[in-house]
Amino acid sequence: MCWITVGVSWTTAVNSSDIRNYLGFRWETTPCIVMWNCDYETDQREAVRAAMSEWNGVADTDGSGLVASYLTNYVDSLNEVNWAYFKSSPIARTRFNIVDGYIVDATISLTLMVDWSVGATAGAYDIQSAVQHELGHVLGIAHCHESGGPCSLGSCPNNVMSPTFGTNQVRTTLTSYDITTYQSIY
Amino acid sequence: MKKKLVLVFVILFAFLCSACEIPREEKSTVYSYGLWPYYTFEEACEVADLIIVGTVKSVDKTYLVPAIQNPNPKSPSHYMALTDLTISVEKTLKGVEQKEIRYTQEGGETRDTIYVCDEIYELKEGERALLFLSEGDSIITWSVITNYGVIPVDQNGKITVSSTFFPGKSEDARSVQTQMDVDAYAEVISTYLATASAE
Ligand SMILES: [Zn+2]
Repeated sequence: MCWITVGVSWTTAVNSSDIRNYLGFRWETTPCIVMWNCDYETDQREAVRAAMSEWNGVADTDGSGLVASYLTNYVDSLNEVNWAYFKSSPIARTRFNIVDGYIVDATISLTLMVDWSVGATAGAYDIQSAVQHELGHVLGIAHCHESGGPCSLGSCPNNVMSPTFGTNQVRTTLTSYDITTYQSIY
Repeated sequence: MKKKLVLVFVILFAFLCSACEIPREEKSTVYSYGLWPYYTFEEACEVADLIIVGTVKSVDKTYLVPAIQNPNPKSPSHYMALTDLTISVEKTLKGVEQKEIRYTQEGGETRDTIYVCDEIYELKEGERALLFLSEGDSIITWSVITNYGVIPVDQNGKITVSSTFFPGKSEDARSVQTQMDVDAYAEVISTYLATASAE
């Protein structure tokens, strides 16, 4: 049986009440590290690394260069990505803890109740697309919405940060919505 | 005698303290963002084991279960909050007819933490909804198939549903939110299911 654990160890996050409830939340300084610490397939690990690279490739606007650089190393910590063994409606989830308006802790879980694939495969979900979406949440980015939000056009399902995702699909190109939201937060 | 009385008061105080809630504004918040499976109307009708219209009769206390293997008790994000609801079923569009079902909803509130789930309508006592559900496992009872599988019904019996969530409409380039009677939408589902099973 294979499962993934990716850990992310963070420093304190900054309060960003103006963007909260709209674009998302943020960490104050660079969340440091992401890890795998259990069984996984090599191609799954590479898919997750590719997801990290996509976010790392986005320039942050405050010039710190820190936020985009955290997703490259692997160490053990409290914050994790892990397979979830119970039945769950979403295929993946990111939970993060907000204290005084700051993200202080984030965890991604991927359900084992569906089939995962590397690339588009009938009946399975592409792991890079899902992890890239969840890493967007780890960074603090909220979902784009079909109405009421900045993503009010029919292109919403093309965004990595769109809340739904289908089987036999790959969605790993960060759209202008994904990038500008990230840059508005950082 | 005096000692006994003091002891009784101490125990009573400890009991009251353990039961007291932290004021809501002082609770910490755990946000949960899901990546939900995308289903067309036809797929949703196929995937759901149970499609019902019902009313929330009661809402149980929220409880926590580990969201990942080997959770760290210090990390609230390693747990997920679940709340069980009893729903009185008024109409069964698909699945085995039952008078009541237990529906497990993610999110809720514990003594010190508020668990917020993005994208999914959180049902409360007395509310009416149309639900696309799938059978649970040892932890949860019935669960919703995807985020738009909980469709709340307003006081006037109306629901708001995406124009693409109808038979043959999933390919429409643009979805608009449309309002209609829940009974009319239930009829759309029943008619579709009858046609699909006849094929
Ligand atoms: Zn999401």
